[in-house]
Amino acid sequence: MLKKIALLTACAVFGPVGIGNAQVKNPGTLVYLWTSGIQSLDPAYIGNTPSTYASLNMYNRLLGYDGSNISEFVPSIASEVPSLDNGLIVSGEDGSVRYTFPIREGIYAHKVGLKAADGKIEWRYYDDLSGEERERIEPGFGEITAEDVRYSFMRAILQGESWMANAVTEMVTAGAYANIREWATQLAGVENFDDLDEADLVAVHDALAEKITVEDGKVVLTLEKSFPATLGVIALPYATSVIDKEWAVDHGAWPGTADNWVEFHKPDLGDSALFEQVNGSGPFMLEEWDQGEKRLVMKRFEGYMDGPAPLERVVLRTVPEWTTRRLQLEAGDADVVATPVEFLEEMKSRPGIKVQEGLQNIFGRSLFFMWPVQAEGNPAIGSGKLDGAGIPPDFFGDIDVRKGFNYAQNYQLLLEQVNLGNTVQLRGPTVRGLMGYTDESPVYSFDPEKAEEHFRKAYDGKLWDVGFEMTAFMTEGTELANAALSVLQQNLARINPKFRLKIQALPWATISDRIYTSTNPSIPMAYMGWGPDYSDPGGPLGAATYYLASTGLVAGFSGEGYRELMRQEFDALLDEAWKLNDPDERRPIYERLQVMSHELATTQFLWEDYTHVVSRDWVDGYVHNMILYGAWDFYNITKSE
Amino acid sequence: MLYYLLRRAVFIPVVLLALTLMIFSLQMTLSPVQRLAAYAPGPEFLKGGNDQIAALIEKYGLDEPFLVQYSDWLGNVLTGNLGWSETARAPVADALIDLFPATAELVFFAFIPSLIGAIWLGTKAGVYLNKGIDHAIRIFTILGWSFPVFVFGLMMLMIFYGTLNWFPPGRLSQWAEVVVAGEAFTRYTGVNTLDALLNGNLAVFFDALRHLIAPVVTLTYVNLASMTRVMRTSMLETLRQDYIRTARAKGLPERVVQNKHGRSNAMLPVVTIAGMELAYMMGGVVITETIFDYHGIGRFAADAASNLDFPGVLGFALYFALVLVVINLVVDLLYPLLDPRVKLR
Amino acid sequence: MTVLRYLLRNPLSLFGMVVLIGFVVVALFAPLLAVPEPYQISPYDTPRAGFWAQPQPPSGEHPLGTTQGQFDIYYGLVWGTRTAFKIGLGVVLISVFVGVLIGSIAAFYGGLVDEVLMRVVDVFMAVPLLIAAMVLTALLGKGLVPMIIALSTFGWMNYARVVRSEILRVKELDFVHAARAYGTGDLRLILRHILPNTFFPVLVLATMATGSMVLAASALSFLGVGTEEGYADWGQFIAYSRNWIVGQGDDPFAYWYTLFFPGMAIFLFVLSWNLVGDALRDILDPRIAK
Repeated sequence: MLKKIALLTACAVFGPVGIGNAQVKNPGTLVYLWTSGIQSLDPAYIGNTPSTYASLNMYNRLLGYDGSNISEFVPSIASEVPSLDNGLIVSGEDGSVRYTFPIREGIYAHKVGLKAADGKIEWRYYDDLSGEERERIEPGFGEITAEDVRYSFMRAILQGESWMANAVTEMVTAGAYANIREWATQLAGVENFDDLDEADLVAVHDALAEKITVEDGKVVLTLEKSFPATLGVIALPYATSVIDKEWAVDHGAWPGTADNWVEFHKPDLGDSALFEQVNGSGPFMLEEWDQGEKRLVMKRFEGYMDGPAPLERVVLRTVPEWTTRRLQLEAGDADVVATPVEFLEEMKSRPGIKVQEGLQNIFGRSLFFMWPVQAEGNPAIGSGKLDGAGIPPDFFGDIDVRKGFNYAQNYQLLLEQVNLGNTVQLRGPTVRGLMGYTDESPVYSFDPEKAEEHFRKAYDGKLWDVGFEMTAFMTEGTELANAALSVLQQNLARINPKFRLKIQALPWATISDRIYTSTNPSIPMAYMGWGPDYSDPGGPLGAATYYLASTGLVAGFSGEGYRELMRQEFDALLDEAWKLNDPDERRPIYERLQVMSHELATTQFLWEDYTHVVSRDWVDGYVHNMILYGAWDFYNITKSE
Repeated sequence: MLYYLLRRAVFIPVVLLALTLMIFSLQMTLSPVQRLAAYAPGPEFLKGGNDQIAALIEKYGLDEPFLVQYSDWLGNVLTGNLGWSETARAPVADALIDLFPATAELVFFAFIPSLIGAIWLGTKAGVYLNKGIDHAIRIFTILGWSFPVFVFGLMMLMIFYGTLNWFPPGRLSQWAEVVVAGEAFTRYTGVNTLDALLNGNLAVFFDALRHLIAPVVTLTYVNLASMTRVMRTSMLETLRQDYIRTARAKGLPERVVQNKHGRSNAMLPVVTIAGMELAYMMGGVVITETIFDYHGIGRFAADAASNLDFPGVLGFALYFALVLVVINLVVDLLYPLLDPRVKLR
Repeated sequence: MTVLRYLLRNPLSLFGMVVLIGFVVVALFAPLLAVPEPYQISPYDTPRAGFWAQPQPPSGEHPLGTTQGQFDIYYGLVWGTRTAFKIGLGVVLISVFVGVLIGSIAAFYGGLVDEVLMRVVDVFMAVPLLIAAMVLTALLGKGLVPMIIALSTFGWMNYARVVRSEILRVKELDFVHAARAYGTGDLRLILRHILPNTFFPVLVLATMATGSMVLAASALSFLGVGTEEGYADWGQFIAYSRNWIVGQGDDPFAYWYTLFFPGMAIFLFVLSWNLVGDALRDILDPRIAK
């Protein structure tokens, strides 16, 4: 008897042997395996690309990006894209700018509110309703209106949690305030956010409410001065995603009141009311978000405003091991898998699998010079003196040192062997396709003689005689970073055997500790990459500002010496360019900045970041948009049978 | 016996307290910015620079003195709140409860065959000392624990999934996921095989089984190897005891001598080791879980550890200590049953 | 003499001995067997043969091939032998020292001291080695020394337990009673009479553990908390093979060398320590003596 059962089990377990690879598995369902995870389903909370896979597909914005275009928009919840020509952007005489967004009618969210017999609102799936029931939907409950848009923007700003929500604050105040705390404290004239009383809180709420208004069922945004990146921020799949106010309030989110918003300010991750529930108007609905299994399942929304999506279901799973992902793709159990660059060639040769490669990302990878660094007890600079056993704290303050380092890097080798020809050399703060990028600017190339020439000039020749020893840093587990630093290490030692560059890999936590804990970083050089948040190079969150302004992101951790250089050389030009409205006037200034970043060797720019898509050949319709950092909009994806 | 149990019960909280204090003091060797990493897992979360970092440190109380932070945590634990794990993006207790059935299922299927196999193989090796069979078993076991687990795991995956397409990774196929998530299917325990049987859904049962085989075989082999060793050694010692000689001298058949007198006595140390092995398996089999895309407690603990998510690590430590206590208790209680000479004191 | 005779009678043990001596030789002569390049900052940083992301098969210049990122496998294995001894012996010596110290104090004094120390053991036992080591290396940074610290911090408890129970057994033996009756001091009693008698079980345990520490180190490398990138360490080199084990397309053995050589090194190392350990036990343990 026992043996029989065993035999039966064996048959059942081994049963599905020999399923042909050609046959489409799981028709209608797209299985997407990646190594990332989603942080929160609250679009106002999230701050990284993986999380936008949820917000992009389950919510809508006023506008969307037009295909792969990074500065052209298409209507979404707004029925028209505002422009000067159609009169929806109006410049006032005082320099203010008004954006008007007419709202498309008849957009419903996944769940809508119906009044039950006892007068209470009952939330039901729109798709499940009969025609008669759809007539009875409580107005505004699950129907997307201008009020919902206003509420979503204000909620995100007042919640003030993520970097991307603060970008909206920055936009609404035309760059005057970086976040709601700054705005509130400056408005009230106090030092600390905790010192604010209720009247102050109401005051900042009202000041915000004046900037985002609803007129005639249209959303009107009034900025004190021009902020060229406004539409770009609005179309990003983060904090400007539109949620249904009535539903959100009913589910414990900020009720839209002026006096108690601070209770909903900066909640812990899980305390945000929308952390694990979604009611957007996007083409997919939340079916399951299993944190333990690291799986997000989205189901098609039949009532989507532009008609239902071809895919019935999308499954995102976190699978950290490459071999596991790869075998699942080859067996057809997965449709798209995240793939390390060294396997692209091989995956291309596999039957039934296709590869889209060389997709551009909007930022580059670089080695950042920082100076001065912490002088006391800092092992990264050895003795702390120019005596062959260390470096002085402001080592990279000498332009010849920076240039020597830049000539000592072998960029071609990194492009060919490490990145396997998937990308191009980075020329400055911006990448191909952004305003101000020019491919005519000079770049560094590996040139030991030039490097020697500069090293001999540095520190009046003393550097060349005594040599140096220092440590460069990288985040753990990034092989590309290790390769870039190793090439530099070898070349430096070959140029002068007294040049000793050590490499240390640290967890991100420790790196951030060492660049942020005090006024000066304790790291003289590190491998990183920072991406801008919109395509415009200027403004507080643009690529040029990030890298080249004394107030920019990079300057923030690169030490006072770096900031001083930015103040002297770059700040004035950046301000000038941002104030101009005409792209044709702005462009040459940004191009000039790119050239200057090379002349002054501000940073060792390495290569443009890139990505690729490896999928079964039955998956079609992916459009790569680099401002979305390659996030997938599943609405257009098809899986042919 | 009662005294023994009482004594045990008194020491459990002491050990737990010391354990959490130890982990907590590890955490305090980090700077507040480093501890912040648990809440800001990547560079993009700190784009706001110094101001944002200061605000976050204040928000999570990361610069409070050690005892304040510890007593806060302890107070919460005593009220049943293990804190929030940023790695699991869930309260720690929920995450553990959520992942426990998966780990328990895997361990259940892997532990029993490895225990039985180890006893059987160890006995054989002991009996045929330095004969062909013994050498074969020794090499088989040494192979089992002189290669890293991930090498076996990846090979299993390649052969049984990549080439033969028999045993896919994960816990269920996509279609079965849909069934299990559906309304017609009740998740009584979270253990897929059991739930499927309780729901009377054989298709899901066999699907779950199909996904279990490869990780189970990998785990079984590795554990079998180390337990076989112990069994063999123990068998060698036992077979040299006087009472074995006496039994032989009495003319009992060799089979009886080996099985009844030899094996049953040699099993004692194996029980202890098996208890430890079981505990460590319940503590999570990080590598096996990673390779077979099997989301269990081990993966969670490893992620928490590498992200310095201390609420997660502390919660896991408490869970593991609890598992250890229970298993040790069971082992201790088993002892007198197996060997009448042992009395609990 | 007995040792020699035993070895001759047990070819397997002889084999283990020979292999182990072989490893010692390789470790000693590493600078001659694999000459470091002049630009290397430390001889333990494996030189790279270019920077191609894919492994390259054995060739004249790289007799055992290269890993992903072009670390020379031959060089890594030769210098890795030293690392293996450092990890194995380092961890085991520290653990044995701590374990013997705590175990003997606990057993000798008994009572409250014993109770407290054994609870300390319980505390350390209650953390799985890998997770504990991950936390520690995350705190201390990557590298050989943090790894040794992490592995020994959570590796001494077994020795403490064994020593304690052995001492408790020996303590009851007649000669100890006799020594005590003659007024021998505590320390002297422990050092001269009790410890030597508990030495063998610990030695056997330690020998077996030496090999497997290299394995634990490779698990750490797999989880991303091992030695620094390119450091000559078998564990790291075998972890480099993880993505290449399944081979290329229809040829599952396309990258066999990435797994085979580091795998063989670890296997032989663990095997030899085990065989030597088995032999030691058979020779030294009075309870099994023939």
